Amino acid sequence: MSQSVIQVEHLSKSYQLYGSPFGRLLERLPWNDRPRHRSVHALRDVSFTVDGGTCMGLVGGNGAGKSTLLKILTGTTFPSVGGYRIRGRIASLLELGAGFHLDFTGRENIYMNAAIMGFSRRETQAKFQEILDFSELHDFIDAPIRTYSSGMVCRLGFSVAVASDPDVLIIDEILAVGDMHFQRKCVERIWDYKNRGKTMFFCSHSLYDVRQICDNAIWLKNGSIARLGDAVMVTNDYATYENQLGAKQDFEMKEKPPAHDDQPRILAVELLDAKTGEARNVFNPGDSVAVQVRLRNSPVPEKLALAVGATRKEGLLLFAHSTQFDGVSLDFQEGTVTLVLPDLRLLAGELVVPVWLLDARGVHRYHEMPASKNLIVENRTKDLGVVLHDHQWHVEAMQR
Amino acid sequence: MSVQASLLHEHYAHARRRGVLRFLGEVLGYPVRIWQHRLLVQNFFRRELFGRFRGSFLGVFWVLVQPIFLFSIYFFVFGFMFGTKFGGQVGPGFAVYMLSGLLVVTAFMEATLRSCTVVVENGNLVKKVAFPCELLPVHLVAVSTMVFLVGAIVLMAIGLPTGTITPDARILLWPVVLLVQIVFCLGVGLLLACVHVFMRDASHIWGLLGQAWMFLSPGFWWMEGPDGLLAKASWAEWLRLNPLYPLLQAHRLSLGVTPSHVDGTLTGHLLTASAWAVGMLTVGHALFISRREKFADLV
Repeated sequence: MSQSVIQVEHLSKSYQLYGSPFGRLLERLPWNDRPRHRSVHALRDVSFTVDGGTCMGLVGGNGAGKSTLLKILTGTTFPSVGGYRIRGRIASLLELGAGFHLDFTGRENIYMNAAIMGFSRRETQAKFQEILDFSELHDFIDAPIRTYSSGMVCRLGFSVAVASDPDVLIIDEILAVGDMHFQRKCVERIWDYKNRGKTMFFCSHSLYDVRQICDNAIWLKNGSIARLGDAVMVTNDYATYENQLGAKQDFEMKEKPPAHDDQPRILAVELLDAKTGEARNVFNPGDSVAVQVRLRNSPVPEKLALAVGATRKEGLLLFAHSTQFDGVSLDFQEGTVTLVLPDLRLLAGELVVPVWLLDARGVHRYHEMPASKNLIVENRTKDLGVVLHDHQWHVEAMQR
Repeated sequence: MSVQASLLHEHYAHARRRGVLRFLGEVLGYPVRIWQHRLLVQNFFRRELFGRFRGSFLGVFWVLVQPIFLFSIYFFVFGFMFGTKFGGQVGPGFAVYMLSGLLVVTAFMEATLRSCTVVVENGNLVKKVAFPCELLPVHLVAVSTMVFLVGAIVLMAIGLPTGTITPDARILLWPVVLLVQIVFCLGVGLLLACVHVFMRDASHIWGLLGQAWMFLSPGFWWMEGPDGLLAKASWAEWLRLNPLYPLLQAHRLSLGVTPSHVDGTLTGHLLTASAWAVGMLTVGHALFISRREKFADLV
C-alpha cells in the first residue's frame, strides 16, 4: 500500500488572542477602528504526506506547533488556511482518560469512554474483556477510579484507546504510561499496529522512540517544517540543534593574539576535506578532515609546538592533539601545519576547533585562535552519543 | 482519545461554510444524531444523574424529596400564613397551581443553567477528542426532565385526592407538551452553551435572568379572573409574550390543573409553545454548530 493516507496541504493555523473578553465583540462593531487581537501563528504552511502502512514521527521543541497539528489531524480544531485529507478510520490518543469521572468505577468509565469514542454497546461488550485484560486491573475494575493511582488511570485510558482497530493512529507522547512492564506492552501494541500495516502519526519527545518506530519524521520549528525526511536523519538534525540550544553557557573561544608583532603567530586556520583539499566544514562520521594552520615564526625562528582540539558548545573538550606530544618539531619561518583526521570518529554536533600556538615545551601560549568555521558533524547512523567507535559484537550462547 | 467511523476526513479552510444562516437547515439532522449517539447521551445522563447523588445517603430519592418539600413550603406559607384565597377558598389549590408552574420553570432553568458551562466543563473532551459536542446539552435536559417527571408524579399524588387536579381526555396530549418543553430547553441550552464559550459572564447573567423569569411566568400569579393579575395591571398583557407562558398553561390544561384559573385553549398554547421551541432549537443549534470549530481554541 503506497497510496498516501494522510495528506496535508499548505496548512496554517493562527489563533486570535484578545486582550479582554469583550474584544471579540467590540471588534465586530461597525464603529470599531482598530484590531483588538493579536494573531499567533501556531502553524505556517505545513505540507506533507504519509503513505499507507508507514509511521510518521513528529518532533520539535515546546510551542513549535506539535499539539496544534495533532489536534487539527484529530479534528478538534480547524486549519485557518489550507487543509488536510485522511483516508480511513482514525483513532487518536491525545490524552488518556479524557472524560473519566473519578467517582465512577473502572467498568463504568470503560463504557463511558467507549461511548465517547463512538463505540456501540455491542462493540464495547465484545471488547470489554480485551480491554480489561490489557489493563490488568481485574481486582480494581469495580472500584471508583478515585482510588486508582495515576498510573492505573493511564493504563485504563490506554487500554480503552487501543481497543479500537483504526486505520490511522495518532499518538501523542503516551509511551510513558505506567510501570516498565506496562510500557513494554504499550510499545508492543504499537509495533503490532505497525506490523499490521496501519498508518501512524507519532509525536514524542523521545527521539529514540521516534527513530525506532517511525520511518519518516517531521521536525517542527516555530510552526514550520524545519526538516522532513528519514526519521534517523531528522532526529539527528533536531538533536544537533537542541544540543546547541541547550548549552546555556555557549563556549566561545576568543582569539588571544600575541603581545608583540614579532612574536610567533597563527595567520589562519581552515577546515579542509583531507581527500580533495577543498575547504569544507560539514562532515559525516568516517570522513577525513584536515585542519590546516598557517603560521609565522618570530624573526629569529624558535622551536614551536602547535595544538589542535575540538570543543563542544557547552565547553566540553572532546580531544586535543599536540605536535609536542607526538614529537613533531616546528622551527620554520613561515608555513603551514596540517592535522589530518583520516577517519572522523565523532557523532552529531557542532564543534569549535581551537588552535594553540605554544613554545617547544608547551608551556607558554603565544597565540590562541579558533578555526574560521565550526566543525559540523552530521550523523547518518542510528548510534547515540558523541563518539563513534569501531565496534563489533560477539555473541556466545552458554551451553547447558 | 477518539475514533471516527467515517472513512474520509477532509478539512480545507477555503471550503468552510461561514455564517449562522447557512446552518439553519442542519437542525433536521439533530434528532438523528442524538439517536445515533444515544449510548453517549445515555452515559452522560447516568454520569450526571448518579454523579450528583453518589455518596449521599438518600441517593436518587433526593429527586423525590425536593418537590414534596417545595409543596409543603408553599402550602404552609400561602395556605396558613397568608391565607391566599384561590377560587374563593383557602386550601391546597393555590399550592398545587404554584407547584405545577414552578416545576416547569425550575426544570427549564436547571437544564439551561447547567448547559451554559457544559462545553467549558468538558473542555478536555472538546479539545482532545473528536466527538459530537452539540450533543452535550442533551443529557442535561434529560436529567432535568426526569426530575420534572418525578415532580409531576408528586403533583398528581397531591392534586388528584384533593380534587384540585381534574384530568380529562386532554391528558393524552401531555406527552406532546413535554416534548415541546424538551425541545425548547435544548434550543436555549445550545444557545447558552455556545455564548458562554465566548463570554464567560453568560452563566452569571443567566442565573439572574432566571430569577426574574420565574416571577414573570405564571407561577405565583394568574392572569384572568377577578383577582387575576390583569385586573390589577393592564400591562400584564405583555407577559403573554413570555415563551414559558404558553408552555406552563399547556401543561396545566393538559393535566387539568385548576382549570378555572388557566386562560386560553390547549391548542392555542400548544401551537405557540411549539413555535417558540422549534424556532429556539433551530437558532440555537445553528449558532452552536457554526461556532463549534472555535470551541477547542477557546475552552
